[in-house]
Amino acid sequence: MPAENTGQTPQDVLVVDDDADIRNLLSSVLTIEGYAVSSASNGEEALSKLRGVPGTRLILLDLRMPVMDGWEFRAEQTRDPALSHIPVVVLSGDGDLERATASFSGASVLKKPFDLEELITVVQRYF
Amino acid sequence: MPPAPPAPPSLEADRSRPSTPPIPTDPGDALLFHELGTHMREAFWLRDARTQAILYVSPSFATVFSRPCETLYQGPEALLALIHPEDRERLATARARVDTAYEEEYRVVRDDGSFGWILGRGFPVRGPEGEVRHILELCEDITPWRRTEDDLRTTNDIMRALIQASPVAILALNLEHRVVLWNSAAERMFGWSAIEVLGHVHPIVSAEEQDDFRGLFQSVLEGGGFTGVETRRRRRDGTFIEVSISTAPMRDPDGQVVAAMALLEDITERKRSERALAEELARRAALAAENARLYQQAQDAVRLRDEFLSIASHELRTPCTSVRLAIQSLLRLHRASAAGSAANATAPAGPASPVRTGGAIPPEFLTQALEVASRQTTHLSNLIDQLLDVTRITAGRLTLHLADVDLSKLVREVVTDFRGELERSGTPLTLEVTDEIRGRWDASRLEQVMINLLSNAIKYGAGKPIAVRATREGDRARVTVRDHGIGIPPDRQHIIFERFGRAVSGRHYGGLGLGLYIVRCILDELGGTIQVESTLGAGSTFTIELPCAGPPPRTEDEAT
Repeated sequence: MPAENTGQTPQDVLVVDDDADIRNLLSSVLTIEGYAVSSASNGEEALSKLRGVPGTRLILLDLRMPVMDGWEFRAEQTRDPALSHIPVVVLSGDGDLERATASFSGASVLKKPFDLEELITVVQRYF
Repeated sequence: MPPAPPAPPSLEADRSRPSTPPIPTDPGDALLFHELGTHMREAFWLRDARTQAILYVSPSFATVFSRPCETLYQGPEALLALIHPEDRERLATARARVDTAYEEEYRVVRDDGSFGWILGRGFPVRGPEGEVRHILELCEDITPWRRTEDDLRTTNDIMRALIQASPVAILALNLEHRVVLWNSAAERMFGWSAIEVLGHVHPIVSAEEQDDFRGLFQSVLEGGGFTGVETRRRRRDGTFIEVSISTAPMRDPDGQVVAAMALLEDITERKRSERALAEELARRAALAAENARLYQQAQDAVRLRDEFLSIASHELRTPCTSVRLAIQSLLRLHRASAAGSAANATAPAGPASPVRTGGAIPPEFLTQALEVASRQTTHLSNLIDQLLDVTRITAGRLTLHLADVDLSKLVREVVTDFRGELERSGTPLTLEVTDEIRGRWDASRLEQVMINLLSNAIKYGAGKPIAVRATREGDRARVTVRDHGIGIPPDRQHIIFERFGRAVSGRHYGGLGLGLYIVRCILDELGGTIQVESTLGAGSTFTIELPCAGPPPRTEDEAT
């Protein structure tokens, strides 16, 4: 059974995507894989989760989202010394991914629709 | 300096050399003679008619002839020796006729070699018997005026030549507007000869330009000439030419203005080329502006297309991602399950020690994944439909299948289909529809309209309540969809019904930017309307209205 990730337990992976289906499926799959997963539907929600629950070790980040998009989130994250060290894997369907992720130095980038096996391989690299 | 007057007031000294008796003999007369000779500007002398001897020479002779008086006493020929050779014979002839008066203008050679002009007159002086005894000759120096006259004549000749040779029409009008001068350029320019117009009121100003002409003429009379006034004047053949006029007043010796002289230059050709140049410039400017506009349009189109392709690819990838994720996760679990039933699954290494279950696929996950796959393939198909619709609209091929449709039933069904999405987004919805709203419409297009409006209300509704209302208002049906979401800024409200027009950044909200454009096009086809009222941060209300009778018949113009 997938491990339940309640409010205060340390989260391994934070899934940030405004598409509920992707967010929920990804959470489920990773939970089944054994990770403690938390999710957020935009950058602002992601920041508040990261600040509320320490111990996140990886962020899976979509770019185009309402309220606060992935770029704005990244800017906020790198400005915050408590969060800036957390690695980010960008998952985006943007047409020009290279240009879109120019500001994400050091981040892994997977183009949507990504291959699940590849994603899991990338995720495993951080654990 | 005038020469020193002769010393004695007596004629004795003057006639010391001639042998003829002194005339006059009366001392009072002699004194008078001497006074006259001293004060008159003219030189005069007295010649004996018989002997031709000079009896008396006035002192002013020295001034007029610039020779001493003695010169004349030398003999009858002494005077002629001082005269210009060309005038000598004429003067000699005149002087020879002793019994008649003469008047001759002749040149005298001065002692400095220059010529002077003399007006010489001679009168016979008769004795008691009427016989001519003496000749009195008077000489006046008229050199200054001869010069002025010559100068004037020369100036006049030059002026006349200039006026006649001028390529500019030169004419003068007296106070009654009668022509007093009309040169040959004026003849050529206007077609009337000088003989035809001299003394007549000039014919070159048309009735409609009379006021203008009178104003100009008056300004000249008041002493102010003008330069380069551009107007038009009439020719003999009734055509007009454009002229540049410069004028000056002409005055009589008292300084009174008696005429106005005008110089008229034909500038028709110049004006034509100026106009042609201006037109050419305007044409080029328009062309440049048009090119710039087309270039901008092309740039905009390219930018819009690029933006659209970027958004469209993102929009199409999103459902693909869900579907692929659903299928691949099921596949992964299935493989693990198959492998796990044969042997124990190997747990991946890592500090979090994630454990892959070796059992069957969790049924709730199976359901979740299949539902996502199903829903997202539908979504994908809708996106493709939208793209096709836009292509059809652009090509003018959005065809309607009109039939009897119950709008309230249609609205209810669409809302029901949205139940799942409403639940997922946590959006409450209230529905208020009149029992039956029948009209002649295209059911699937109206469904599309409702789906787009509801999708937007949920997407931008921030999870707040949505109200859908469908009513019949006379012969029209009205549907309103109201949300309480983010709203639309006033300056964006006009573009949301345009192709690719969106009120918010594509970075924040997905979608092709085509939904409301398609809605508007469908409503246009159905003869309906769509309007939006919105307050930023407080929500939006979309109102559509449709004629129940269906779309009005199209006219030829609209059809094209």
